[in-house]
Amino acid sequence: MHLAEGVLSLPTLVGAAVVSAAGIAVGMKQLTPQKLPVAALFAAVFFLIGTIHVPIGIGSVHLILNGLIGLLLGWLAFPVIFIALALQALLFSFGGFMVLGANTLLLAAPALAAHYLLRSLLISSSSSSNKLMFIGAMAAAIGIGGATLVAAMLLWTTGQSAFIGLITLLAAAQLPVLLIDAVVSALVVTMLARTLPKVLRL
Amino acid sequence: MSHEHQPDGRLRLAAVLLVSFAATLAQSTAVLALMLLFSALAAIAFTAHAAISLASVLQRMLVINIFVLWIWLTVPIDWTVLELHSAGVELATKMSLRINLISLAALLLLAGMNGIDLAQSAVALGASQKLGSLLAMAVRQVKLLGETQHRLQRAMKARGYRLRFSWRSLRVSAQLVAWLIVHALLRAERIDLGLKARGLTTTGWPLRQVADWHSLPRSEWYVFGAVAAALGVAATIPLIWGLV
Repeated sequence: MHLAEGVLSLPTLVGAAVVSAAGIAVGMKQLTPQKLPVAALFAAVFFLIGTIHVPIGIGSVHLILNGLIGLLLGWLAFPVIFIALALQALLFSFGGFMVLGANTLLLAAPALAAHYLLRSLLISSSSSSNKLMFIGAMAAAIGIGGATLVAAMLLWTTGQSAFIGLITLLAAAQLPVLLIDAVVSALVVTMLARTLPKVLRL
Repeated sequence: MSHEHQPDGRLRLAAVLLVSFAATLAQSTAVLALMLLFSALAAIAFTAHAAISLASVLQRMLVINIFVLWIWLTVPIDWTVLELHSAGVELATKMSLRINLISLAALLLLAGMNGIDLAQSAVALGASQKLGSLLAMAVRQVKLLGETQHRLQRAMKARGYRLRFSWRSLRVSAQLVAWLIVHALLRAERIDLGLKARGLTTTGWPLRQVADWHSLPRSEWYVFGAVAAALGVAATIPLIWGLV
């Protein structure tokens, strides 16, 4: 999910960039030299996840999984998502550099929320696959639902009632993404628990 | 991934940010239209000199304009009474011009730039070395993980697997993501062990020494100057003609 360049007003862009910069600064503070390869690899994974498309009807949606990344990484999700979005802007013209702060905020803030809301449940949960699937699905719901909410707030601060139609269309378009992300995220968490459980306790 | 011969892109990145900033600030349709006209002329010049292919520019712009279509379907039209609002039309026009202007400028100015150049440029423009190193390292891992991902997808296709909207497709997509995460973590451990074995600590991917501003090629300064001048002219002409 990206907001395009040229849509948000300057105060909104600056405000979002400041909040994102604060999140990235906290994330970077936690980024020890030993964690740098892990963060770089997760940025690469987040970038590549965006290239996986699932067909729906005549169209397709690409996976986002920001909730899952947040669940696993916590504050590190901010720099990791920022890096992946910068690369997407450079290589695919998705989003852009002026709107990078806003796009980082809308994906990373819900990712962080998923981490704080679900992390303790994940750590304490037994190997029950139903529980793990629930955590995975919830991470996606928080990730995509939260991203839609933040995007709607950013659009509202720019255009108020003039953007209601755009916000509604954006929210409606995220529904299939949310459903697919929830299923895939639920399956990924159970698969990770089976194959490499320490990933869930990074 | 060698990046010895890549040009220093900091001034082109700065020019993209300058265009984005100017476009966001500009409130006049005439100014935005003139800026976009200059960008389109630059695109013609770039494609004529084969710096970038016309087809790739058009393809990228087409994708970007899908969002513009969304804007035109929602902002100027009140669907409850099927009415077109002039204020909405004006807002949609300005947004369309801004989106196309900023995207086209970025596409042209950053053409041929890779992720390592972006990391170098960002550090040269004031981003932290740590963030630059993270970006540079991520670029390398995108290449390595991406190659393996493509190999895996090719193998899946060779076995007759076709992506559809089905439970099986979702399971396979999840397996691919889980595999990417597991592979990434094992790779990170291997990198760490390799460095420890050589008595090193992980200090990130070394970025090329950032050059002084005065040692940048003149051509880079000319590009930046041309962009700044074009923005200045685009902002001035409508004022002189009384269009603002």
